[in-house]
Amino acid sequence: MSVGIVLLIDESSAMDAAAVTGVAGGGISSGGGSSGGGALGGPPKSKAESVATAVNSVLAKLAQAGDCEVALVGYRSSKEGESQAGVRWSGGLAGREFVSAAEIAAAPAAVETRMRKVRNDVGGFDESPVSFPVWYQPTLGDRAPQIAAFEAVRDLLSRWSPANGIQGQPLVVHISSGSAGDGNPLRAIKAVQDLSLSGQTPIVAHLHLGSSANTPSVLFPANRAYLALGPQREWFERSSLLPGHLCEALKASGVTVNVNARAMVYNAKMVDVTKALSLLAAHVQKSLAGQAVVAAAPVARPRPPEGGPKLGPATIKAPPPPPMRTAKPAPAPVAKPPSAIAPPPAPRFIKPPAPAVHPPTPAASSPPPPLSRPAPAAPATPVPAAPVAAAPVAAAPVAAASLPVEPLAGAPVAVEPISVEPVAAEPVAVEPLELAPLELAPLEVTPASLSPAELAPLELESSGQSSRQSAGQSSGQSADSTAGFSDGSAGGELQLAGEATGVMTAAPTGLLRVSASAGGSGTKAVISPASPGCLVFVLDRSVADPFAADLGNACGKLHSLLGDMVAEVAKQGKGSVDVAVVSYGDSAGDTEVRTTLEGGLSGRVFARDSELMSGAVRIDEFEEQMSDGVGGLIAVPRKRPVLVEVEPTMATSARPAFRAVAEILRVWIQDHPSATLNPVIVHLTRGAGDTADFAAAIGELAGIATASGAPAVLYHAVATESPHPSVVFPGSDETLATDSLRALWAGTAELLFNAELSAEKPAIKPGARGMVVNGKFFVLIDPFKRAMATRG
Amino acid sequence: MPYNKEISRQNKALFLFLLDQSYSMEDPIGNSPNKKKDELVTAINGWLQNMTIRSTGGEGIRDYVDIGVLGYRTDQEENPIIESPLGGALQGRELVSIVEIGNNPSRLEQRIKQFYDEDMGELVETQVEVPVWVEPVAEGGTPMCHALYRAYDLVDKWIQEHPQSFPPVVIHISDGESSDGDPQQYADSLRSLATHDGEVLLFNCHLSETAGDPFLFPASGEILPNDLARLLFKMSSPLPEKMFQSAVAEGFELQAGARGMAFNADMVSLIRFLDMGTRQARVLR
Repeated sequence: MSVGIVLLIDESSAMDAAAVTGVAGGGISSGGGSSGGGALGGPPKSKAESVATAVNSVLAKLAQAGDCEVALVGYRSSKEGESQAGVRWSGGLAGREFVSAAEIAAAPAAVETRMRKVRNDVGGFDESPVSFPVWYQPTLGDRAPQIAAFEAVRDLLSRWSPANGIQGQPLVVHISSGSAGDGNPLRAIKAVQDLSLSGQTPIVAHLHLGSSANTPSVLFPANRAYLALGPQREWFERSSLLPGHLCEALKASGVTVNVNARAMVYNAKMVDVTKALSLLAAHVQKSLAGQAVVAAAPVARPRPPEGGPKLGPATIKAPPPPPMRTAKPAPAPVAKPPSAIAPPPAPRFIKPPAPAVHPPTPAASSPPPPLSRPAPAAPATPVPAAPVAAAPVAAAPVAAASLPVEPLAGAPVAVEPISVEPVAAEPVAVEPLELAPLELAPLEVTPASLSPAELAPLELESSGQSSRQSAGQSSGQSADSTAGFSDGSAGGELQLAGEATGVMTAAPTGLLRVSASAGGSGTKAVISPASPGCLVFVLDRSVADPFAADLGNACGKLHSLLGDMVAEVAKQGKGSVDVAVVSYGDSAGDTEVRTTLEGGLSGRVFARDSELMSGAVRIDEFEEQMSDGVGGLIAVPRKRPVLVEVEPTMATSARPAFRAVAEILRVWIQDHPSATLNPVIVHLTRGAGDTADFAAAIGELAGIATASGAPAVLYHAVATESPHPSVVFPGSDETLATDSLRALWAGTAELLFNAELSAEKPAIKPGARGMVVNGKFFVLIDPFKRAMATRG
Repeated sequence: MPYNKEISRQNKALFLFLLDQSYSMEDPIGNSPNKKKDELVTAINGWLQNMTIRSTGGEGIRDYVDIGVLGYRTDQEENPIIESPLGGALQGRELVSIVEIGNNPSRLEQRIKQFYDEDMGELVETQVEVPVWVEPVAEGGTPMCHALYRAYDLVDKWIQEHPQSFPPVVIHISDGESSDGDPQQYADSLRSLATHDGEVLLFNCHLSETAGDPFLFPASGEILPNDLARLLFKMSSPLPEKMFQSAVAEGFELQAGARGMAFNADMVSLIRFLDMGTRQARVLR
């Protein structure tokens, strides 16, 4: 009879971070050299190295512990995004799954000589060489596909049938450093716990490795209520109850264990890992002696209301299916040339209205068209005739003839349904003509929404830009009023003193919109290391199905976007930008909002840009391709720091998160009374939220402004789950396909330093809002750089 | 199996480039300050130089490949101008061999080339002299149908002289809609020409003005953002088997039925598109 043990080990890049030993001044480990960079010297070891040492050490012990069979399993993802979860035996045991104790003892992959340190009589250490057999030699990958990992474990266990039968409960020990990269592994873990192997159910234990010596470890907790909301509670749900004999073993080694303790350690230090792994030998011995006490099934908790648990022993991802190509057969191989379809009739050529070599204006080259185009504001009549008049009513008959039938392709200025060019050079056109809108542009204008006040800024002599902007605004507002936002009275008009800058007007719908340049009350925005700028990222963790194993899920994509933006700030912030990351998601029906950073910056809300790289949870390295300037490509290695790593969840309200953002901003603003640059908030989301909830959420940000009167601006970076075209800094919401996205746009501020940006970057038009859908937010650092440059 | 013919002296290949020279090519590409017309000729000249080098053997340039370059635009009276943008000794020639290309660049130009220095971890610039064959032009409208119609004649005539070769590859690069009608039928007629090794391959690349994400080798029109993209998709040939495998091996994630098409391409995507579309010419015997 054999006892089954599965060691499941994280091999993601997070394991490259330094391990926390947990013993002051480094420790004396029986298997390795100096652990930790303390009094015993030597550079700190990575988690992967330390864990490998601990695992090899326990394998050596298990080889002597009795009749057990061990499966050594690792998981990681490749750079290309493939999950790689499987057994890691190598050398003589390569390809094996469960290996018996005797075989383990007989076939280490390698034997190293390590120096064991023993305290001598005079207070120092003696070193003596010992043989250290090694079975586990990890290679690290990219992310941590835990769902795939537990599916692999389930598959392994369900196929395991040792020659002499199963004794005791199989024990799965999972060692990891962070969150899953492919979704929420809860269901996959339950699927393992639900197995019945000769009547025995597996015990699943989780050892989560801590990143900082200052954060306390949580050892074998018994009561969920005492755990912090967030990952601690999540791992609690995923851990089996500790069986009685293991509780006894822990108590015997000095660890306090209460009734109903779970097999879980959170923020474990290496000392804790060693103690936990010592349980394995105890488990084997007690099970073989028949003294093992079966762990009770964990208390069932309400499951999210979806379809049944994920089934299927999918292990390692199958390669992509071979493409099925049915190329058309070549024509019969006869000497004569292949037959051809008769060439089409000579193509018609429809004249484009105004092709020109020099920078064009619509009226420049071809004579007639401007007269038939209406100004969007006939100042006298808010109702410019029947908007969809079939016949273009024009006093100039010439106009009709030259009205193009096709869209104005070739004309340098595209005509969009809403933004219509005014007649720049011919004020005459206004009075005598009854202007009907362009046929192509059914300008659906209802009298109610075009009040004279809104049309007032439109002047025919004005440049095309501002009228387009106003037209966009008026249509945007009509869209708002028809979209049914009920919160009409919530916002009111919020006007801050100082007309040139920082005017935050709440549209009647209650949504906030900033439409001006940076700084407040006419003061120039300046940042410096002494008086930094402020940047808050808000990460929406919701996805459609958190339990689907999907390395490419929206939450993961947002992590990448966040990483790119953080990398930009870390590189160019010059120590002048404070950065915070707030994440929110559903946790057992409640909204969980996390406002602190992780990794080396654990516990802090704001960190300075100069600390970001060194304090990151880990650094993602990838290659970016660039043009080399002469038609070729070069691959440039880039780094992307990961500041937080959170799992995807079900959808939840955004309001508590935005409330938390308002709160941390208030505190920051109080701490920085001399700040002048608008605080920038970037909301990263999949863009599928409830529009009313969103309206309420951004209402929480009302009135947040620096002491100098620079209001906070809200930007959006969206990675959609279903395909949506790229939209980059749009001036209107017409390219956005869903109500949710349009609601986000309505709540997005215009880009700071709008005038300068649109003058310098042709891709950014005046009135562009700080919103990007499925693209790169490439001007994130821009306002901060400009504020630095203006330092007197 | 079609699309299997190897390129050799006896069975030359034809690569025909159709280049949009309309006025909008004066605008910048993607999110960079460089103009579309400039990036395009940089990419084409770079490709021509690579092809020359690849064709060069011990005894000189091997005559394996014919190259055609046609630019299309209109004049001030909206008359279409379809002509070769080659300069120097090859002025006005629509179809030339790689030997003539290699021996007759229009001029040499000083350019800045970027390298990545791995030891120092930084980008380094050096001055290089590169040959130029094609000059940038941006004027008038977009007579795409006229261009495809002219391409038909060129390709048809070439096929009659090379019936056994790998089918001609037509690479069409533009930045907007056609202004002389629906190009679909002209594209279909061009693709109906064939050698014994298969039908003509027409690959379309659209250059972007926005900073949006590019689409490279999509397998279905549904994920494409607008009608122009879907039209270009329908006009594009599916990638033959070898090209498909080659792209997958390089890391492209392609679905079955992927077409030789790029939309919203920036400079990097354009270069990758050119490289993939002419992949057959990597192995010259």
